[in-house]
Amino acid sequence: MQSNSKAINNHRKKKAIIASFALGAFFLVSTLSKHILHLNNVVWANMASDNYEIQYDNINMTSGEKTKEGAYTITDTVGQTAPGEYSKYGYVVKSGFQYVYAIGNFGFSLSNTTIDLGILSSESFSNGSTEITVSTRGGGFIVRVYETSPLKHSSGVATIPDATCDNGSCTEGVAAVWINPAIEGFGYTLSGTGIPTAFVNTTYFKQFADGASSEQPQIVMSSEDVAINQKATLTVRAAASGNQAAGNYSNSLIFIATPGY
Amino acid sequence: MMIQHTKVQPSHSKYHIQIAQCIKFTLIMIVLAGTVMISQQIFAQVGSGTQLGITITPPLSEIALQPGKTIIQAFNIQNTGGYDLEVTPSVVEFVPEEFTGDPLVQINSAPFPYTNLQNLDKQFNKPFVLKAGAKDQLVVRVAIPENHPQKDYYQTLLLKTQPVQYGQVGQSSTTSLAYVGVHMLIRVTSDNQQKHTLEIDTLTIPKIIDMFTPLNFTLTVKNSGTTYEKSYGNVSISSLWKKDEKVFNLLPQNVLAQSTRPLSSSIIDPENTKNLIPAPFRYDPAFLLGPISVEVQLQDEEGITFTNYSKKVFALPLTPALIALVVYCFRFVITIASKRNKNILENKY
Repeated sequence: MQSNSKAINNHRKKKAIIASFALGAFFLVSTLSKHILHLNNVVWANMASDNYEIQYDNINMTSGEKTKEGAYTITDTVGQTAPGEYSKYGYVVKSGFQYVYAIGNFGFSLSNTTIDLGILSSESFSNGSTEITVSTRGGGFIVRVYETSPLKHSSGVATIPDATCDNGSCTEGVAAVWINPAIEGFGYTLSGTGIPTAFVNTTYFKQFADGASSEQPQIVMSSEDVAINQKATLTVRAAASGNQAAGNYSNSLIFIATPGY
Repeated sequence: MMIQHTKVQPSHSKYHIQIAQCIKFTLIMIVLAGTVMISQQIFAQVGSGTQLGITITPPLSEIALQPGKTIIQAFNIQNTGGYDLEVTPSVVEFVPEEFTGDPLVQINSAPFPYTNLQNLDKQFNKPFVLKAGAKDQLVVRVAIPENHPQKDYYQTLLLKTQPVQYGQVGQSSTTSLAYVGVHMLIRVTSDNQQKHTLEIDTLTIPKIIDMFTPLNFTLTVKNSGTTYEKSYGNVSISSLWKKDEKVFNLLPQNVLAQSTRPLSSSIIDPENTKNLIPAPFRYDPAFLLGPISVEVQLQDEEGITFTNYSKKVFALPLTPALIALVVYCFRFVITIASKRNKNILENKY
């Protein structure tokens, strides 16, 4: 009798431990799957979202991928590429670059959206930088940049003009050496992959294209090729003259990043 | 019986202790899981250090549709940075640059009138917040009115992205925002027939090369038509000894209407043999000699040639000639020197 009740107790104990393990493990796994694999964030797997309304039946998300002679692939809306079918359906949509098998995505990032130039003083440079990263599976890409205006005093009156570099020759289209801090200005240099060849090294600077003067945004990175996390560093430099009004100066940089076509 | 009763009683209290232990264990597991959850959230903020990061899929959409038809294209977007972003979608025009064909997005152009967003909670030119790490979808509807003339529209789905809050520096600084976009080539056409309007603009090739130097050249095509076309075809190199000694297949790139675009040859991507990647036109055999013919054939999708153009380049033995000249000069100098020495010796004795 005694050994029987002991066995029952042991059995209960085992069951309780297994149950608690199972419960704990379930909770742990569900938490991990949500926060490591982001399973709760997968939105685009489900077309029936609460966030949009489908009014028409011709929907192209990624569609089919078919291998074509010559090793490239067409990625089109299924069933509408055969000769004569265009007139029947009235549309064809092809997603992605047709010579790249996977549709892929276009990615752009900036490491730093606020570039701190510190306290500007005469006869010295203030530098700050941001890292640009671009990814695309095909078609290449272009990143351009322009400034909304030259660096402006917080009062809105005084400005630090765009850099003209040591010999006065640099513009938004021409790079030149700028190593003399006695020459005031605001400009940038580039280092990394896919940057314009004019930036021979990081002593070469250009002005930013001035959006307020309708100057064309300038290319800071480009490629015709596949780019997997291609990186370049944009370093901004400011130098104030001796008679510059004291205070904080600021402006905005606008980046425009697109893949090729 | 009493003994039995007193024996059973402790077993009940043991059972309660076991339940308490189980609850304790479960609580420990919950705390552990909670810790993992919090550490993951911290990782999302600190680990993905970029302040602004976004991806868009697909990177290109080629849309052909008849007047009066409607299509819907879904674009998947993701905030890949560590900070919440304010995103403002719009559809604007892009134009190709005159000589390079590079896209120039007209961020202040008038909005394209035949698109709207199907999302109930989003509109063009109205910002929304995309949380750090979050994914979302923009469902773009393109509707062309009946009786619309046949025409191409080159548009960019543009996302104006900026952090919800910029870092405060309190000193001189510059802040950044980004317009990140993907292109949509929209062709309004009743039959979607290719018109083969591509023509060779320039084939830049040297007239004379050294027999041991590689043959490099560039090719630019012009589309004088009213709709964009793809560059199918090849460039073949033939020598005196062999026809089509080397054939470069053109990368099928889109050449927009009334624009020029430099083309690339295509090679198979070594990392994924299903893909083609661009490559420069460069032929580098052991040597070339004599007249070399470079012929460009522009073809349709079925491989039927509709334009061809060829140029000749002469590969001459410039390096051997230079070496022979140097050797000859050297021998000449040595001969003169030895003659002079001989004369000096003869005069001496």
